[in-house]
Order: sequence, then structure tokens, then C-alpha cells
Amino acid sequence: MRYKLLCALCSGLLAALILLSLFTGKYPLRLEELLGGNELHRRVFLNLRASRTLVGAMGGFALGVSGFVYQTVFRNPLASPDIIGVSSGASAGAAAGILFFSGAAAVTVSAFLGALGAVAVVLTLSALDKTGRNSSIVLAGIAVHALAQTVLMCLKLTADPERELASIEYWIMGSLNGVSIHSLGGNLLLCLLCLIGLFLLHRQIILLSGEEGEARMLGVSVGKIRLLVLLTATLTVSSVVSLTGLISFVGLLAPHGARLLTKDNRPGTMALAGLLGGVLLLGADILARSVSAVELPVSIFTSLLGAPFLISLIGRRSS
Amino acid sequence: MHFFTVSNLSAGYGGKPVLEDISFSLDSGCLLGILGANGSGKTTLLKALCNLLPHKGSCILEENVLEKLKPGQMAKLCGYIPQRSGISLDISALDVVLMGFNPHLKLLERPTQAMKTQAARALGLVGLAGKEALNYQTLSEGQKQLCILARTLCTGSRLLFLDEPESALDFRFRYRMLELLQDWLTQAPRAAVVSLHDPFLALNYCHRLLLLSEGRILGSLCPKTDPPHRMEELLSHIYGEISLASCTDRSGRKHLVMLKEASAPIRANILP
Amino acid sequence: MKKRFGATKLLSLLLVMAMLLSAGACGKTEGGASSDTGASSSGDSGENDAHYPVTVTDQAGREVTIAEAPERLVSGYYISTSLLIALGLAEKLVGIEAKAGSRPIYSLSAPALLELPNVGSAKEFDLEGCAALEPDLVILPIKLKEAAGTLEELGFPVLLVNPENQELLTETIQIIGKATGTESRSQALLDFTDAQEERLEGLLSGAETPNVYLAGNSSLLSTAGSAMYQSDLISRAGGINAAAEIEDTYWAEIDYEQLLHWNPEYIILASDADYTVEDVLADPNLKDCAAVTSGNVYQMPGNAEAWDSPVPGGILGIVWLSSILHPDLCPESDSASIIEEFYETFYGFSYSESHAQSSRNLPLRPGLESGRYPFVIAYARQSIRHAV
Repeated sequence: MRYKLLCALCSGLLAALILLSLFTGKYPLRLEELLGGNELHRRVFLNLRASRTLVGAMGGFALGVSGFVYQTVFRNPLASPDIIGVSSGASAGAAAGILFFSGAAAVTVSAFLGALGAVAVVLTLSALDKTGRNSSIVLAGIAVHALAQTVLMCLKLTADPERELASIEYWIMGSLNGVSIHSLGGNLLLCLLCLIGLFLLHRQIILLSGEEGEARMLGVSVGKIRLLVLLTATLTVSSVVSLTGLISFVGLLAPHGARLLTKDNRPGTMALAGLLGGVLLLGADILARSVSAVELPVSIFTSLLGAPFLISLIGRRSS
Repeated sequence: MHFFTVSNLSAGYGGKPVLEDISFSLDSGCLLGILGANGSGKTTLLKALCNLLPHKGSCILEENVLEKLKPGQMAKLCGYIPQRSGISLDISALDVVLMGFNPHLKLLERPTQAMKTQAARALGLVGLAGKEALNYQTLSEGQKQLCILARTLCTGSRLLFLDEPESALDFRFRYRMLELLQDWLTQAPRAAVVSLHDPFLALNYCHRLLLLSEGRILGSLCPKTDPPHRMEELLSHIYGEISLASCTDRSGRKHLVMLKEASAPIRANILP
Repeated sequence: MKKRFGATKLLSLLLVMAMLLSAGACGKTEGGASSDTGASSSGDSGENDAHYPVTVTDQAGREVTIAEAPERLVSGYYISTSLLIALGLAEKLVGIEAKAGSRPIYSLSAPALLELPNVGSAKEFDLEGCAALEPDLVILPIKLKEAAGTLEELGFPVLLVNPENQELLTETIQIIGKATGTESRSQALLDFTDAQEERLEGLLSGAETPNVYLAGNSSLLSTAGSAMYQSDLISRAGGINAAAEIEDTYWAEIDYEQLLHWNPEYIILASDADYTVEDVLADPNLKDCAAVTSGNVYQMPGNAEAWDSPVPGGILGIVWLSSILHPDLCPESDSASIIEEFYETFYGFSYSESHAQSSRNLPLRPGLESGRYPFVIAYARQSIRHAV
């Protein structure tokens, strides 16, 4: 099967990148020292490299899969977590966390709550429209996005430009730097559970992609199932984004890549979207930490790597 | 007690009434055709019957009030084929048919092997054998319509609503579709409501016809038994001056044919 | 169909090019204006006046134990780096914060620092780069608390400092002095500051206190309210902060009307201001402002350090301003010799010489040359105006 081959290929690539990521960085980590029980090498490996690699691979996978879900459910090839306010809610939440609390854990929690809060408002607002159309969610999403941006702007205004404002801006740019093994657990567990949930819900996601009347007559309680699917996808994205800050393009590009490669929408394609997302984010992060003497925002490289890939796929399709 | 009864159904969009006071009933085994000009409310009626559109009045299938059913229960009893399916993803024809088993599956359950075999058989039945793995999007409009029919036939529902299912089909498949429907109806208790574009098919395959005009029922007729002049009179309200003729094919089967009579010439030139 | 794909491709290509360009711009590292002409790092580092292990409480309230006299230091903050130079520890530094090239004090007193690997900024701290330097002691701003925790787990002792104002700076100096075993030298540094403060207090008691408006780095209309270090600086130099009614803890934006209403007698531009004294004097909106009509607009010198911030030599900003506001009580020559003495003693270079050099040899800090107002020239202007 074509998509099995592709999945195997991408898994191999991801595994190779994980290995590369574990041994790329400013600290001269050596395998013999690591195996020889050098305490410092062991701690650098576990606390810095391993956690960063884990977040890169899993975060990319989660962004790819949830991008697939959003695009399918909204029948919109440009749909992204932003369409229902996840990103802007998380940004506003992170800004509030930076301003009013201190510590990375508080910012993570606050960003997570911001994302969920924004989505809750979007879904509540859209429920006011009794016809339960997709478009009402999109409209509510636009409104909440604007609202969250305003909140963010107000928070930025009150922020101290040199420290807090810079932190907010940098958070929004996204980075895998400084994720510590101790703050990962909860997020990654939630992410993993939601990913399993999304794969189990794959059949429902495909049913939701059709016309609403048609889905209803196939026995789908459209409103409830859509709520379930969107919440699961949102939890997935939030658990990643609250750790890393906004990461552009992965959620948009990975699903397109997977679909252009396989030309179908099986669960395998969804997994492929995740694998591509993992490859993209991890590859971008390896570059972000090795290209220059200073750390660069990872989003620069996700876009830089992603755009040519997408163009080549489009080029292949049109020829 | 009829198999399916509709009483005093009124519906509309945004406060503007489209259907007013529709009542009819049909017995098990009946294929009810709905005829009407464009904009007469055929699609609205089918959507209201499926409970996809808020409406007044009630639809009762055996003991079930359709308005009170949850989507899952509704889907077990009734199937619906829209004019055009909204599937816009790249998925295989077999996967489209398998969607029909959703009412019988739990939330996280996947279709069984038996369901897959059954779905493949349904595809063969509608004339799409061997096309299981093809991308639904690459099928022609007619093939898509047949694929959706296969999906509806294998759901095990008792009442089907079909919205102009023949419109995209070519000559041969139009008959095939109605023959499939007739065959499906033989296993009682089943019935189908189908809105049709083609009066020829309606007159020769439906047991009863409901004539719809401006959201009201103009009348109902049974093509097999009603006298031709009564049918001509009713049909001419919809189609203008027409006459009915009876033809016999080589096997001796009789067909009703509707012929357009001459009327005042139309001036199509809009410009003075 | 074909055509549309063509357009999509073109668009995407443009997008990629734009991103490449922007990434190129981001990737460019600061060109360090390193000159080897600066004085060598200052002499006697008052070593061994502590018995290790030493336990100190840093400014985040953490207890940090340093087992042995640290030989490899990393400083992730310009104030602590400058302080380590003043304590004679420049040679022990193995890594410093990013953008070191923009700090003239480094090239003047310890140019070797500019060649050290940088461990990033408070925005993006390079954990692995820092670990790779295997430091004995890392000094970071309090903002990098998370990074400090991670480094601690790796087994590197970290001191968090928070020199936000004069008192906290004093505390920072004491903590770092104790941790690095340079307590006598850090005490000397503190004594210098105390002595100058006392001297000024004596000289300025009973003097008139003119209204002073301090304009921030980003624009003339950003200013420091009463809660800020800069407000303190003005009052210690014998002035009153015109913006005292503002309670923001960071630079606040005001408008021209507000400025005209306060009508300050002096306008002082921050050391790193992006605009010049001429800009302010030529500003048509300020024609009627007292400071502009009397020509009392000056820029705080920043040839060595930004004296308007709590750096170890921050007292010199107060000394300088006192001569601007009260030239009769605090003669400029006295101030100039105090400044000279400070840098000779703690940083091992001659301020007046480096100063003459820097005015010939611009720029020390790229992009800011137009804003540079050397101390001497500022004095010259003032004398000319007084003469007129």
C-alpha cells in the first residue's frame, strides 16, 4: 500500500531526526562519556536534549494531526487552530501569565486556560445560532480572535517594554528552548490521550466533513460530535502551544502534505500528517539551535522548510 | 393505520412560508413520487420530512413521531439522498458506502469485515462493481449518486427520502435506479418518497404521485388506475398543455408517455 | 487551472524569498566593535578574602553554596558583567551576555570580553552553550529564574541578581563580592558611591531644586516616573523630577501638552537616546518650554556606560547631573576628576583619554553616533550659552 510505504518512510525520517536532535547542540555531548556514567553529560542529555527532542517530535505530531482535524471538520483548507481562537486565546493567556504570575509553569497553565477559554466562548457564541452551522463557528471564531487580540494589546500596553513585553513577543514567536523535563509530564500525557482520542474519532471526523443534513441523516448528532472533536483537537493543540508558544505553519502544512502525498483521508493519512508535522518541527528546531550562535525562533524555520515542500508538492500535482 | 402519515405540515425559511398545510399518508410497499415545477417546494418538503428543517405538523412512521427522534434513531429508520452529496474529501467509494453503517456503530467502533463485504455487494448492485477503491471525487456525478444510493440501501432503514435522484443519471441508470428502489420495496415494511424531475419515470414507476404547486398539494393520482383525462388535467397545472398517450413495448408492457401540446409561441428576445 | 497553479507557485516563491531575507536579517549577529586599544583588565583582584565553601542568599531568595573559589564565571547580564570587571574578575569570565559589542565599557576596560562566547540574552538564554563552558558560578538576571533552575539541576551554581535600584544594586554588589571572594574590593566600590552621595548631600543641602525632565531612550515623550531609579537620580543630583506625578514602574508615554504644562527648567536626554539635543532644541512644539528657551537641554554621557541606569558607576550620572544643575555648587572640574578617579580605580582606564579618542574614533556603538554627546562638548555648549 502506498500510504503504508509513505508512513514507514516518514517514521524512519522522524526517527533519524530524533537521533540527530539528541546529539545536536551547543554542549559537546559525547556518547562514550554518556555511557561511561558522566553525571553532567547524563543530566544535559536528559534535562535538555531529551525533553527538547520529545517536545519537538510529539508537538509536531500533535500540530499536524489537529491541523488535519480542523481542516476536515471545517471543510476549509486554510483552517488552523486560529479559526476557533486557540492561538489568540493562548497568546492572551500567556501574556496574562507573564504579567501577573511568574515562572514558566504559571505561563504554561495560563496559556492553556486562555486557549480553552477562547474556544469555550467561540463554541458558546456559535450555539446561539440554532441552525448549528459551521459558518457560525467560524464567525464566532473571528469575533473571539479579534477580542483576544484586543486583550493581548491591552496587556502589552501595561507590560514593561524591556522585560515583560519582550517576553510576550518572544513567547508568541515560539521556541522549544528551555522546556524542562519537569514541566512536561502533564502536557505530554494530555496530548497523548487526546491524540489517541482523535484517532479513535477518525470515522466521526470524516462524517462531519460532509453536509450537515446528510451527516445528521447518517445518524450523527452533528452538534455534539463536532463539539467533542473540536474540544479534543483544541486540547491537543493547547497542550503543545502552552509549552512552546505559537508555532506557525506546521498545523497548516503537514495535513496538506499528507493529503497531497496519499490523495486520501484514511486514518493512515492523519498519522502521516502527524509524522510530517513531527519531521518539520524537529528539523526546524535542530536548525534553530545550530544555525547561529544565538537561539532563533523555531517558526522561522518551520516556514522556511515548509513552504518549499508545499510548493514542490503543488508543482508535482499540477504537472 | 397507515405506514407513514404526514399531517398539517408547514415549513419555511426565515419566517417566509414555503410549504403550507401538507397532509398525506402512504402504506407499506408504496413508492410515492412528488412532482412539481422548479421552486414548488419539493426539496423543502423532503427536508422537513427528514426533520432537517424546523416545521409545524407531524410525521409519524408506524408508532414513531419523527420529530421526537434523535439523529441516531432517525437514521436507523429513515434514509435520505440529497440532490447532491456534500462529500468533498478524497475518500474511496467503499468508505462512502460504509458511512451508511454509522447508525449501527457505537461512537468509537469501526465497520466490521461483514459490513465491508455488504458494502461492496451494494456497490455491485448499483452497477459500480470493481470501483470500491476508486476516489469518490473522481467518479462522475451519476456514479456518485449511485454510490450514495448504495450507501442508503445498506443502512437497513424502512423509509427512504430521495431528492431528484435521477437528475444526474443517464438513460440506462435512471431505470436501474427506480428498479432497484422497486426491488428494495418488496421487502416489507418499507416505503419511499421520491421527488422526480422526469414525469415519464414518475408515471411508470411510482405507485402514487403527489402534485406540488406553490407549497400546496394540488392533488394526488395513481397512474395505474386513474382515468387519463383526470391525470392530464392535474398534470397540465404543472407542465402546461399536455396529453398522455399509452405505448406498448415489445414485451407487451404498457408505458404512459406525456406529450407537450402546442401553446402560444414564446418570444425569447428580451431586448426591444 | 494551469494558470492558477502558476500564480500560486509565484506567490509561494515570493513568500519563501521574503522569509529567507528576513531570516538572513535575523541571523546576522551583532558586529562587535572590538578595539584592542582599551586598557588591559584592571589589576589587583582582591582574592582569597573568603573561606570556602560560602553560602549566600541571592536576590530571588535562593540559598546558593559555592564550594570553592570560582575560577570560571559566566555572567548573563550587563550590569553583573560590568560589576565583575570592577571587582577585577574580568579574566575569570568565560562567557557573557549577548550584544556585548554595544557596551563601550567592555572594550575600554577589558576588550578580551568581546571575544568570549555569548550565552544569549534574557529573552533566549542558551542553556547548552552555558553548560558547555562548564562554569563554577553563573550570574543571571532574576528574569532567567527558569534557566537558573535548569542549570542548577545540571550541577552549576547560579546567582540571580536584580539590580533594579540603588539599594538593590548595593545588595547585588555585596552578594557577588561575597560569592567571588572579593569582599574588600566590593566594599571599596560601595564606599566610593557612599562618599560621593554624602559629598553631594552636603553641597546641595538648602540649594534650589530646579524642575528636571528626563527623556527616555526611545523618544522625547517617554519619561521616568517617581517609582523609577532615574527619578531618584534627579533628586540626588539636586533637582525635582518634573514627571514625579507619574507612578508607572516603567518608561511612560506622555504628550507635548503634558510636557509644556510641567514646563521643566532642564531637559536631560537618556544616555542611549535615539535623538539628539539639536532635535529637541529645534522642536517647534517646545519653543516655549523653559528648558528650550534657556538652552538647558543636555544628554547624559554614555561613552563608558549608560549612567542613567543602575550600573556600578551609576553614581557618576548623579555627579554629572549635579554639575549641570548646580555648576556653582558642584564645579564641573570636580565632577570630571571624580569620574576620572572612578574609572582609573575600578576599571583601569582613563575616562578623559578614552573619551577624546572615542569622539575622534566614532562609533563605539553602531548607529548611535548621532546621539552621542561627549561630556566635554556638553560642557562647552553650556559655557558658551552662559557667556551669551
